[in-house]
Parts: sequence; structure tokens; C-alpha cells
Amino acid sequence: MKARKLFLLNIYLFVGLAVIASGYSLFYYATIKPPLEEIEMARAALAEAKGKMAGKYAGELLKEAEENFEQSIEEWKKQNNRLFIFRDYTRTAQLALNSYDRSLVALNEAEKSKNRLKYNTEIRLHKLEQKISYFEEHYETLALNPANYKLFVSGKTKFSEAIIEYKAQEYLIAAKHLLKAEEAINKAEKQAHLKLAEFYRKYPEWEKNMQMAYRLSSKGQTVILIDKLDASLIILKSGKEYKMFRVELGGNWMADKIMSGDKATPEGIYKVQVKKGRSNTKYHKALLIDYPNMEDRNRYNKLVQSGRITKNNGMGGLIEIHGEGGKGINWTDGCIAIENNEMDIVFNQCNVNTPVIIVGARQTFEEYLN
Amino acid sequence: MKQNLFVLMVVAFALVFTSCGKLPQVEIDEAKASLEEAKSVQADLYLADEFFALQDSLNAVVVAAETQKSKMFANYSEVKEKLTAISAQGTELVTKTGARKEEIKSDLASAQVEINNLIQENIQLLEVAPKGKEGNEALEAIKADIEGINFSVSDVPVLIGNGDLLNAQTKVEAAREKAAAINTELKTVMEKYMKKS
Repeated sequence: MKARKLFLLNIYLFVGLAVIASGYSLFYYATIKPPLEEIEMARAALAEAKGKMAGKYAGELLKEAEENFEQSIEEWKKQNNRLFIFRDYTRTAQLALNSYDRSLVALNEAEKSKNRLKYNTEIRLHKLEQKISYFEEHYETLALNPANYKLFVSGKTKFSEAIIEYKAQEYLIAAKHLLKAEEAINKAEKQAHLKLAEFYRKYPEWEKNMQMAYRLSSKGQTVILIDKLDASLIILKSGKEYKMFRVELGGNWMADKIMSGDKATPEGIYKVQVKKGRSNTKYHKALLIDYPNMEDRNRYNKLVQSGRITKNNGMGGLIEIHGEGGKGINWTDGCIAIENNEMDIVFNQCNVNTPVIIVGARQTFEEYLN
Repeated sequence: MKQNLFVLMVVAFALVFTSCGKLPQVEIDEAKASLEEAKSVQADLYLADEFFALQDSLNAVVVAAETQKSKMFANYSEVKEKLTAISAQGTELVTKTGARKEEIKSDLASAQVEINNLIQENIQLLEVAPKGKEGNEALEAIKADIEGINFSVSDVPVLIGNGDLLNAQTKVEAAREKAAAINTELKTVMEKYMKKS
């Protein structure tokens, strides 16, 4: 009897405990919910950040957000694998909130970074555009070596690619292209500038010769002044510029004329030696000048003596001002070519012994660059 | 009898306090693999919007799956359906990415033909273009630009071969714009020249 009572007491106790446990569990189940709101917020923020290209412009922050989100899901899974009365979503919620926070920061940073990059790229594009124009104006017409020219053109191409990416709002790629463009243009500009500076080394001599040209002209002589850098032939009369024509020179016109076949146009004081009419030249009409003069011969001999050139390299000659110009390129072997109708004028203005003064440039280095 | 009652109560207790649904892990793994495959063919580059939307859909379904798992009586049927759809969309994205790449390659080939034609036309126009005093330098610059276009376009087959289609696209677009600009410039000069003469 006593045992039966004890058994019943145990049953009641067990049922009572079960009811209490069930009640507690139901209460717990009703109140302890997974942090669905936080996780949804984190997911939506992550999607928005990715959509706004945070991966490109705030990659590290977005990565943190993604990692936090994944950890949050993993933690949620871990809690879900427990009996629900032992589940604790505190860490899941915290990780989801961290992810949400990181996504917002990434979004904000991406926006800022994108705008900053856009602004910087815009400024750099503008500066480089100016630099390209400057190069085209001051260096493009120089007798640059092909590698230097190729560098400039490749820089210009990269510049065009940067503009396309900029317009497509791909600022990171635009910046990469721009960097390559800047490198190429800067290098090309530096090389061209050095070449021009080297060319201008002889400016004091050119200045002296120019003064002589004007002086002779003021005294009543007709003088032909040729400016290689400006690619112009000027007829000086009474100390003034009477006519000016565009000329085409040798392909290597910037160099000093040293020897035969170097395609350089000589610089110095010369005079017309022979006037060739149409029957004596294949270039419409021509004025043969007295290259090489004494100074040219001395320079040539010094170079031979110093071993820089051999005697096999002749001095060259037959430097003329002739017609058949207007081809648009520097194509002669060192002669000065002008268009036929202009050659007629020059031909008529000149006699044998008319001074022909060839200078590298009339402008100073600074004047030319400014 | 009493013992049976006790066992029954324990089973009922267990049933009440544990959920009995099973997470569709196979379907989740399949969907994830499908997205990975899409990423491996660079869907995130060529069809970025669609790829990220699908990635977000997968995240949403994973959240929905865990939500069901948190419940006492989980029901994964809707989750399974969505996962199957995501797997299918991932596979479709792989195909679409391939098609997009082919489309770009085809556009690149047409653009290259167009550029070559423009270059040839430009060279012919250059030969007959008037060479005024100021024109010489401009023509020299144009010649250099044409050379630059040729040089730039010569890189395109290498880029295509390396699968760098987006870079090739930019390069071709830049070359086409430049070639077209030169063409317009030369034609305008010729037109003015014809009117004058």
C-alpha cells in the first residue's frame, strides 16, 4: 500500500514536473525567437552594398560584412541543431548586426571612394588632355625617334581607353589606364624635351646668324632665312620679312649635318651657288647652296680625326632649295622643299650668291615652349 | 501498463520539444555549387547584376531554411522549390555568360572589320587630302594616329585569346572612336576643299 502511494506520488511528481517543464518550454519557445529581423537586415544591406559596387570600391569592408553574415548563419545553424530550450541566438544576432553595420560602412565608403576616384580621375584626365595637346603643339613635329613617337601614341591610346572606362563609370579601370597613359606620355615628353634642349644647345650661334641675316637684308640684300623648327623659309628684304613659306626638310632635320646620307639639313651661312631651271632639276626648280662650306669641312675633319666617323662616310653635298614640296612630311635627303608655285617666287627673288642662312630656330627655347 | 504509459509520455515529450524536419542540405549544396560554377565562368563580370541577384536569392533561401529549422514543425517544401529554381538559374547563368562572351567576341570581330575598313579609307583620304600650310602637321599627326590605332588593335587578338574580353572591348571601342573621328575630320576637310575649288 505504501509502495503504491509512493509510486503514485512519483507519477504525480513526474507529471507535475513535465507540466512545469512544458509550460516553461512553451513560454521559452514563444519568447525566444531567432533573430530573423537582424538577419534579414544584414542580408538586404549586403545585397545593396554589392549592388552599389562595394566589392570594387570598399572590398575589404564588404568582405568583413560577408564573413560576419556567413558566421551569423553558421551560428544560427549551430543553435538550431540544439534542443530548442538550449538555443541562444544572442551571438547570431550580434554577428548579423555586425554584418549589417559593416555593409552600411562598406556602402558608404564605396560611395565616397567612388566619388573621390571619379573626381580625381576627372582632374587627371583633364591634366593629361592638356599635356597631350602641349606635346602635339610643341614636340610632335620634332624629328623624334620612332620609339619616342610610339610611346606618345600608345599613351594617347591608353588615354582614350581611360575615357571610355570613365564614361562607363568604371573608375578603377579608368584610373589604371590613366596611370599607364600618364607614364607613357610623361616619358615621351621627357625624351622629347631632352631632344629639344639638346637641339637648342646651338641657339647662340643661330641668334648670331639671324642677326647677320637681318643686317645683310637691311643693307639691301635679299636674304633667304630658313627656320628648321618652324619649318619656314622667309625671304628678307630691307630688314623685313617679305614672304614666308612652309618647307619640308630631311627626315632627320634636327640633327647636325655631318655626312652623306644622314638626312640632316645643315645649319649655317650659305649662299646660292647655282640656279637650276626646270630643265636642270627634277624638282621643278632648284637653288643649289654651297654646302659644305669651310666651317662644315672643318667640323667634318675634326670628327674624322676623333674617330667618330670614318673617311668612308663622305661629307655629302647637293643641298638645294627646291620644288615638289607640299607632301606633308619631311621627306628630303637634307634639302629644303617647298611647293612649286612658291618655289617660282623664291627662284625669282634669288641670284647666285644670295645669302641662305639656315638656323635651328628663330625663337628662344622659352619662347617656343610658351 | 504503467511502464507503457511512461514510455509514451517520454516519446510525446520528445516529440513536443524537438523538431522533426530535415534541412535540404543536398539542395543547398547543389545551389551553392551552381553559383560557384557561374562564378568560375566569370558571370560576376559579364552578367554582374544577375549574378549578385542570384547570390542574394540563395542567401534569402538559406535564411528561410534556417527559419523553418527554428520552428517546432519545419516545412522545407517551399525552400526546396526555391533552391531547385536557384540551381536551374545558376546553370542558366553559366549558359548565358557563355553566350554573352560569344556575343562580345562577335562584336569585337565586326568592330575590327569596321576599324580596318575605316583605316583603309582614312589612308586613301590622306593621299588625296589637300596639304595646305597648316595642313602638313595635321596630316602628319593623323598618320601617327592611324599607326597608333593599328598598333592598339594588334593587341586585341592576344587579349581575346587570354579571355580578357572586357579589356579587348575597351581597346576596340577606343580604336573605333579614333578611326571614326579621323574619318570625319578628313571628310570635312575634303568637303571644304571641294567647295572652294
